[in-house]
Amino acid sequence: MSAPLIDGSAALGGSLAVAVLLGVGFGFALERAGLGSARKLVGQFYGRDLTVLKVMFSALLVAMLGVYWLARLGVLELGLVYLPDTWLWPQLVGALLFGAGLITAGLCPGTACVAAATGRLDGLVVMLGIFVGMLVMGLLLPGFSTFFVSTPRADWTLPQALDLPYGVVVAAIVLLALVAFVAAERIEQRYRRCA
Amino acid sequence: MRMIRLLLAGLALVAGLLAGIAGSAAPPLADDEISAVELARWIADRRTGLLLVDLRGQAEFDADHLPGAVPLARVDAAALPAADTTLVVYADDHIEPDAVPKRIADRDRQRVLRLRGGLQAWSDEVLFPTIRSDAPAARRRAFDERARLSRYFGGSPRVLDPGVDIAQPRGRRGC
Repeated sequence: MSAPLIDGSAALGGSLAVAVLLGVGFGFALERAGLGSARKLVGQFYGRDLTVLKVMFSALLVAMLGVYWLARLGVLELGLVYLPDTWLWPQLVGALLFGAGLITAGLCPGTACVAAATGRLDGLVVMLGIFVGMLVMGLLLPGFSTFFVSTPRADWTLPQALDLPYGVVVAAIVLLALVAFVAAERIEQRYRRCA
Repeated sequence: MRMIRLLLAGLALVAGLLAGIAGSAAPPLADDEISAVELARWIADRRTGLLLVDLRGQAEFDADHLPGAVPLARVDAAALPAADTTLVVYADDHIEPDAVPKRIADRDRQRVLRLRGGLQAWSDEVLFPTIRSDAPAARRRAFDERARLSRYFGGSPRVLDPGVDIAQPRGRRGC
């Protein structure tokens, strides 16, 4: 067997059905982890609650190790997995804007959907802001289209950027994650003692 | 709860460290497999006793085949020569061990290998190998050998310029 199970040749309806299922699962996991609450998200930046770091980094580890080992065992054909392209500076600027918006709103797009789905008004307002932002972006795009496609790096991966074997990068990220988890616990404990 | 966390952390650590030792995400070659690049080296070095067998139909064989290959229908297993003959079987794509015809597979005297990835791998890895234009110098030096091999077989090594070649979404090719 070779994954992905739903490849580019699958019917649109099947692909969308799988996407809906995955989206529901993702939203469920976020809500159960408490990430539908703006307090929990913003707590990340004040050092009082690093749940976001722990949940997201855990998910990243599971996905990364799953992809690596499924490929290594011949179950997943990596060449069939879509990899988005990198435009270095536009995406760095976009990430800064995203971070500023996250701190201001207390929610990111995914958690805003979760918050809205659970009846929180702030989630609805953030989602409205996201759509307004997308509209404004579309209207202003012609003005900075040159920057928007500058510094292209194609399908750039960490192993390529660091010129290291894929498995070595995986091992390094696992170690980084475990150190981050321990550090997060220590930071939260310190906050609780001081509070 | 703490024990569960420690267990999960331990599993992640073991999986990560094993990944670091393994290196590449590509599955290791089985004992009865050969990579396209290694086969290309054998052919270029004119390795003796090498016989390439095309498992596809005659029409596919006539359209395209590996240099020096013969179609399966023309292989007389009983008349195969010496014991040191190496048969390499291939198709359009990867073939499983049970797809190798029994009259070839059940040969005690000859070694039978499957071409990993088939003609597709030959095209991707031998004829049209690709390297990014921003690859480090060491990687580009290693690519030079692949480029020479590509030209030997009439292929064309490609240099991917990220600034030009972001036309369509692509999958990842090996890490």
